[in-house]
Amino acid sequence: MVVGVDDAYLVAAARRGDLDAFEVLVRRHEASVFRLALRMTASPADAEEAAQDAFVQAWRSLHLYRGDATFRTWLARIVTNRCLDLVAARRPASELPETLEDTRADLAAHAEGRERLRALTRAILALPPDARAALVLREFQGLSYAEGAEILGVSLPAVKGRIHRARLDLAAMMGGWR
Amino acid sequence: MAVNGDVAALPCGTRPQTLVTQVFEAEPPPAARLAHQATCPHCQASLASLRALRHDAEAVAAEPVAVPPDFARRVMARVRGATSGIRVSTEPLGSTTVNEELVARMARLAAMEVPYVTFALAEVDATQPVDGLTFSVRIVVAYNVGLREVAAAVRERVGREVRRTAGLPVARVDVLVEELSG
Repeated sequence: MVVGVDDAYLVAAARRGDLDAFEVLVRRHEASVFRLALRMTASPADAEEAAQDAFVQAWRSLHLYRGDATFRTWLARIVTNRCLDLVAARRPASELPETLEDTRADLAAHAEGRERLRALTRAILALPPDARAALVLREFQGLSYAEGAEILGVSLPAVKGRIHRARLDLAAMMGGWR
Repeated sequence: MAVNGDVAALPCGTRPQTLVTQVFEAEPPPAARLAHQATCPHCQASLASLRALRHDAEAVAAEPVAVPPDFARRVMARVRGATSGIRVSTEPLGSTTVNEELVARMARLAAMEVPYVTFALAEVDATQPVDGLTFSVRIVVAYNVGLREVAAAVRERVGREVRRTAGLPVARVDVLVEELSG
């Protein structure tokens, strides 16, 4: 029944204060927002908090949304920043629970299947947050480099550099160079 | 291990950066590099582990992520927190107030039940609740049907449903046909 009504129409209504229109937007985008938050925080509880905060903030700042980015990209920027704040507050870099060497040893112990993927998820969490954000937007949200640059508020070369860096680090953590 | 530092070249002199680009950006390597890789055990081992990493990353990306149940409801409860209510009744033992947004939602849901209405949004003006509420309903209507008849049906249904469920008088229902849908 919501078929055929695009985001712009709903955003315009929500901006006039229509909560039902906003709820349609929440339901339409919750999967992508929650997924991004989960990949950024690797904790369902933190992801829920960040995703909720992002939607509440989106509601409050709808008047600032100018429609030059898609609503999805605009939301992704809000939730990414919220996750970066949350991660910074939760885990000072010096208190990462496991060292990269542990991650690699872990991987050797469980070389197959889901354990490998779990190890990769942990390795992603061990990346510096801004590199992780760039990587997650590109590899897991399927956004373009240009969208990633817009969301992170950095230049296109900077976002490419971060992703490249993240891949190098992941490769080192997951397999090492021979 | 090199996080945030330069990655050392492989023993054969190849820069790991080159291999990362080759695997992740699917850039075909120049002929000379391809020839080197055909015989170099270091490059072959690194390429194999990079391809495994890419494969794993794609598997993680494809993993379904379930949104926690009732997530949207919790978001909307927070968003709704500050909106005002409409006094429905005052009894000796206490009053009943309905969140303004819920009254608007009743109107919206009622409008959406009208045939040929494919989408509806509703706002309520509760400044003169004694005379009755004033609704403004925006609808999207299927192409090729009588708009006046659909609007009249919306007006009738919204009035009836709001009176029935909230027990509130309805003074006006202004209907705006905003879009036609195929």
